[in-house]
Amino acid sequence: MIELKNVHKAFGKNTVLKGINLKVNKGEVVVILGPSGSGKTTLLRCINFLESADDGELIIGDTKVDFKNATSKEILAVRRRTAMVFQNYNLFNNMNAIENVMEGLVTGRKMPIGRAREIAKQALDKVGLKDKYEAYPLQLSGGQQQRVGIARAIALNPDVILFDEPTSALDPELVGEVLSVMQAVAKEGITMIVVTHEMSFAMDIAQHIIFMADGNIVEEGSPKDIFTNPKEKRTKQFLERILPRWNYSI
Amino acid sequence: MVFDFHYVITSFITAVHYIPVTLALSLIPLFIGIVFGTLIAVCRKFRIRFIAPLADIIIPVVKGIPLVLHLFIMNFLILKPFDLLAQYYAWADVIRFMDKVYIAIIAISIYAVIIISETMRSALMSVSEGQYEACYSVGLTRWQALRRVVLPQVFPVAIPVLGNNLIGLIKGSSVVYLITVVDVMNGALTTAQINYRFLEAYIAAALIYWGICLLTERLFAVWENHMKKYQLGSAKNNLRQEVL
Ligand SMILES: Nc1ncnc2c1ncn2[C@@H]1O[C@H](COP(=O)(O)OP(=O)(O)OP(=O)(O)O)[C@@H](O)[C@H]1O
Ligand SMILES: [Mg+2]
Repeated sequence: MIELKNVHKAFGKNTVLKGINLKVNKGEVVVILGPSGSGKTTLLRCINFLESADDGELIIGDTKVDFKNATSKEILAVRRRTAMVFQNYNLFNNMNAIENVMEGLVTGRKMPIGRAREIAKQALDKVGLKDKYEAYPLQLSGGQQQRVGIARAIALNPDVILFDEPTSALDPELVGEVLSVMQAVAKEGITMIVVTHEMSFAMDIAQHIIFMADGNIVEEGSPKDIFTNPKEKRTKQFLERILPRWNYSI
Repeated sequence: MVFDFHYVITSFITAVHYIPVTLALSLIPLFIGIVFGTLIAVCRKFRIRFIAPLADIIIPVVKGIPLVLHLFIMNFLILKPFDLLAQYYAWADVIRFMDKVYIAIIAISIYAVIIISETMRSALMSVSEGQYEACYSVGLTRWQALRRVVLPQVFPVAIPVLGNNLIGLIKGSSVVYLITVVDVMNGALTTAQINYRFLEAYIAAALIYWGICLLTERLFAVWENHMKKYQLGSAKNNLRQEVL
């Protein structure tokens, strides 16, 4: 279980997160929606301390961290319980696919190489890259790179995987392969927090939808609630803009 | 006095013996420069306390001082205290032990550290922030990220520039004749001091420097290609796969 309490974050005078409270149950898939600049990326990055929040609290499993005075030891501990899938993949360019997946296990967690290799192979098989163990990032398509990114995350067996718009840098014809891998990961009961603009993914896979605007959580609920019966005006506006077609079909 | 090629050869033969000195005067500083220059560049990148702000101030200053001045200043800074000590303890011979070559190596090394720290700084900038973030996201520390992911990507980028830095050091090291160190330059001149064939001596020295630099350039090009293969061979393989 992951819980965020009263998270605040400002960049200079620009307050980006204005007291976010969020609870994600084990095995749950949470999708965060919201207009550009609403703070979705910042929120995700605060969870694994790629951004340091100014105030608030993070509870992850039995670890409780105060954002304001987190020690580097605590930060490392949180990072070793989380994993992230980036919009632009960010695979290690100097390593092939299997080395990318092994790195966090071998260097980060001091796992013996043999075991890490087995886990990495399983993870790559799971994302459908059985024949690409030795391929370097430059040799892979965007979709394949992102699937290595997902393998790198699941191999760590983290408490939660954070996805920041994992398909938005992809050519449209490659989006499907990544979404179906994410769907398979979700089915395994791995906790996921996903920022995405893929509404079909949100509707089909998410158990919980969070709608953010201007640094606040405006509304949250089941996909059905949010998509068919949004309560807040802000949510309605956003959905109308992003899903004009859906208004008719629902 | 007519130009006489024979004197070029005489001078050349004498100067060739001092190639090891010139190499020592450039390769040792290169090595020291890579080690400490990388360290300084990394400290500046991570904004390490005290070191980073200090480097921000010192490096632009030291970079603006010509190598000759480094040499003279070092010569003075190191020799003076030794002189005083020698006088005090009445060691007449202490200066002889304190070979000027060491002073030259120290001066050139300081210069090399500064120059190479700038090389490494710009090479470090070629690695995107995303690479660090990916490291952190899988639970690597800053130093692990550097060692495992960042520096292995930095060095291939830095190699051609380091090659130019080395050539600069080789040519720059010729100023050591000013503090009486006998390197290729000074070696060539020793013959001229006897026969007054300065032009011939200069040409002999020029030929040797040119040869060393050419060789250095070639070696670095080979090394660079080797590194490229290791990094981008992937792109080539990709093409091959598509063709097949
Ligand atoms: N490193 C930073 N420095 C300064 N301001 C930043 C930084 N990162 C984000 N911001 C600002 O924070 C606000 C929220 O950005 P964020 O990236 O979290 O939005 P988002 O909801 O992810 O938007 P998008 O849908 O476009 O990705 C924006 O106003 C942005 O300009
Ligand atoms: Mg974003």
